[in-house]
Amino acid sequence: MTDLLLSRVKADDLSRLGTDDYVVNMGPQHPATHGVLRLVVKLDGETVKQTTPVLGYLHRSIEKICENRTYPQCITYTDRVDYVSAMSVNLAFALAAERLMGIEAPARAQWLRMIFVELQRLASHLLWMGAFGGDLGALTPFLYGLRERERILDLFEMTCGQRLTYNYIRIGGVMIDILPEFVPRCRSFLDYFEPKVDEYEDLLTYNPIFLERTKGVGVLTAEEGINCGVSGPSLRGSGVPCDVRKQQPYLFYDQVKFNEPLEQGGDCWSRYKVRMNEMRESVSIIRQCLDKLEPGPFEAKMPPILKAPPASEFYSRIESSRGEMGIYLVGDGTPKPWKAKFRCASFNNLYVLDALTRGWKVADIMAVLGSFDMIVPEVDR
Amino acid sequence: MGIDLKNVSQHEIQQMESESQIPGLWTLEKAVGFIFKWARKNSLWPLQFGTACCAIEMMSAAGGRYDLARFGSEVFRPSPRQADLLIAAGTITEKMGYALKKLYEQMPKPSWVIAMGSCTIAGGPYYYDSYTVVKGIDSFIPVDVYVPGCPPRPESLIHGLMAIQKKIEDEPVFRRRKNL
Amino acid sequence: MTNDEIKSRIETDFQGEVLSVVISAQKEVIVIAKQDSYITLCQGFKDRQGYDHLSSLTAVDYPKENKITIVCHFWSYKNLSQITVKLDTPRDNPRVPTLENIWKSANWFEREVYDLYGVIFEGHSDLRRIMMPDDYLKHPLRKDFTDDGFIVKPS
Repeated sequence: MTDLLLSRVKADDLSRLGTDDYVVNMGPQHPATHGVLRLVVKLDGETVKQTTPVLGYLHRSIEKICENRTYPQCITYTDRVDYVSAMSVNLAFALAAERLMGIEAPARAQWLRMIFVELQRLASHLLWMGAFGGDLGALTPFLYGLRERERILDLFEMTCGQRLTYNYIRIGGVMIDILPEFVPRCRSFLDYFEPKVDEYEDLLTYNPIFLERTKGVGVLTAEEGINCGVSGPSLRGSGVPCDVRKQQPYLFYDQVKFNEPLEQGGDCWSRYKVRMNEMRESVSIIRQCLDKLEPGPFEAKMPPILKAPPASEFYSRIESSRGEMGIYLVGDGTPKPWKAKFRCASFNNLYVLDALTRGWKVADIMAVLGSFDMIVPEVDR
Repeated sequence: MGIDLKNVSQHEIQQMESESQIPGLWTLEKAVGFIFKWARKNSLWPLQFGTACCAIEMMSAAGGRYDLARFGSEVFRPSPRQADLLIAAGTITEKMGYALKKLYEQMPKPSWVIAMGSCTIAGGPYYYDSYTVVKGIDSFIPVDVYVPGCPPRPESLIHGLMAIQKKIEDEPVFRRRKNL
Repeated sequence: MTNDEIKSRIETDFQGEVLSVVISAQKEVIVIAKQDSYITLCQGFKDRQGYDHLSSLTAVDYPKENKITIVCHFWSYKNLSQITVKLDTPRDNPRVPTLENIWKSANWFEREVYDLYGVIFEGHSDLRRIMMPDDYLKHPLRKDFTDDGFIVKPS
């Protein structure tokens, strides 16, 4: 009966039957957009025709505030720019300010900074794993990821007293030295954690539902990625070696041995695999740093008021958990910066969302968005 | 009745009850109220609303170590129509404030609001010279409990939840605030 | 490649198109560009010298010298070097050609500079506000910005 009706319908002039585009608002409060991001999605049935992100719901004017604060005071605001990997942003700002003023941090401080930044990378990837699984409907990795993350946050709390916004990596060194029980606890955590990565891969990587949702979805070619400014694990999933730790080494990354995980697929599954391999590499880097830690001062000798020379500027790049984080500082002879620009990885990674989701279904938007590991305060600042 | 019931003690409520014209209302309210209050305070379902850093601590509070599910907040609802607790976690900018007001109005009454973190209480570290941040959400939403911290520890959030439970216990069950 | 090699290579390749090339005290190579040859200069950087990654594009406001400077940072994945290109534009009528056709990432960077500084990018496909609401009238990151709730420090 329905076939008869359908054939009658098709026989009619189809242009009179016309369809319209359906505009759906994935509003600022949405369980899967990782924060306050608004997506205005134009649909044709269930196929996506265009995705327009609307930003600015978390624009807290951090760049303007930094022009009104002294350099050490700005470090507290850098925690809030990317709260999931706050140590990396602290480090980027401290490196930029130190180059401006010509301060050199001592060796022990550099090793400590490396240990904490890599621990932070682990914590950020664990939270990402939980959120990505949750977006696709797998609720168990969220609990596992948070469980391991609590252990890393215990290590942070033991050192600097805070679980999320540390303000630990300061200009000229670090805030305070580690306790004597930090090193054995860190080693036992690494021994406990290393087999867990394989356990979590068992859950997700070759799961048929996960493969259906992520293999071949959201393919980013290498040229498009470089042209659109994508960086970090999102670009390494397309086979481009772009690790700032290898290409422009800062701290002591040229003295530790680690590989740069690359995948050739360019789809969500490749980006996921890159991050899981990065967790293993981070574990090995932390072990090497713990072996090479030497006693010494944790802070350089600095004048009481830190002033940048007039007409000075510097752009420092580091590899944060999401990609390339750059901080551009302009000094003018006063204790406050004239201009502080935060170049965040998520801002550029979000730009390619539109191009990657055209022609796919609505549920694939969440898979692609989750695979880019996007954090909204990095986009809005 | 036109009386503001926010700061009225239990004794005064009983006096008002005994002065009311309808006989038996006082015992009815006491008996039924016990069951209503027990049900409400032990199954507060929060709305999934997290803006910034405090949202990560809210997620940690819902995780395995600081378990929020044992207090009845088992599920975080994505839709405001199904939630009765709004944990406003994170900085609220002016652009987002319109959305937050809409969300609060969409939640069916009775509903409670926790202002988590210093950004929602008074603007946080941006209180002095930010041109977009709303300096405290109690300028457009009635707040029940303020949880200070930047970000507050998950245990502080659980303490805030227990304070809401105590508030539910102490409030009259049928007459909640009329003017919002 | 060392900074001196980069500087000499730029000076030989782009003879009349740059105003000057300096190496700053913080050991960065800074190229000061001219308004009319800006696009050909950046296209040359991408095609001939291999700077395929636009790291950041921002603006700095100098009210005393009455100018806004657009600052771009390029990175090359091939020869692992970084340069900075600066372009000055007058403060009361800031108009700059767009880099969107060379690097697509410049699209959102330029929208942000337009939103926060008021610089108009000629040839941009979609120049509208990105952070502030669409009906906002001012440009917040300028040094003479005043608004209720924002306190201006004497400079």
